Amino acid sequence: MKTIIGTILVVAYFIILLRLFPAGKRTLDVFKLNPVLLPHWWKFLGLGWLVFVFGYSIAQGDFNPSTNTFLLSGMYFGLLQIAFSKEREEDEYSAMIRTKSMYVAFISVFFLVGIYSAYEMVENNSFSKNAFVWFMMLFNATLIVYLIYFYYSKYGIREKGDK
Amino acid sequence: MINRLKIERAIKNLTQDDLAKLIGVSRQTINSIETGRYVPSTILALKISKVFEKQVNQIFELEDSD
Repeated sequence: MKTIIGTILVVAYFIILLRLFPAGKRTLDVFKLNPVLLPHWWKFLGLGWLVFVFGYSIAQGDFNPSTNTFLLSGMYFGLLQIAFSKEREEDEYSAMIRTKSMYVAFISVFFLVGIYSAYEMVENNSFSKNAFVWFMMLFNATLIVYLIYFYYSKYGIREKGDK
Repeated sequence: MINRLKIERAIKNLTQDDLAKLIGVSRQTINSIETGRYVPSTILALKISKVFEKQVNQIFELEDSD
């Protein structure tokens, strides 16, 4: 079962990558560079996938990331699809908060790696023993930071204006 | 930068959602501009001025701190 899901995931990553960087739209000019995000409906595919991942883990009764590798890699795949799909109305405002959220997530990676490296000294070989788990947790955490910051900036801040 | 977006909208009797649909952005974008959280691009400012049939500097004004 895991081999089949793993193979499907590898193919799906290539499909998404080609969708994000289609031929003919590639440029190095930062002012002309518009990220080609996935369509809005793809977000629901990601959410559905996350439900499947958690459902599968509940069915297996295994929430230990060291033994159930599908939990972290599946979660990552779902979060990635949510993070890189368009909003219902994608405009310059959402593009701006997307960029800023990515900036915050980018900073968080370095701080999380710093914490990891410090923890490695506290408890010897804690990272190297479970490198896959730590690695996936790092990037899942980064995507979660990005998504929380993005949606908080868009909907969470108290609106003063009327409707 | 200060703006008269809310006043202009009230004069035209438009909701944030109506204005958002007219210029093709989300309601959150209009709300953020009105509350001063977000400064729109020149293109968006020109689209807004077209809806209200006024010049951009009649809707958006520079402050001393800008």
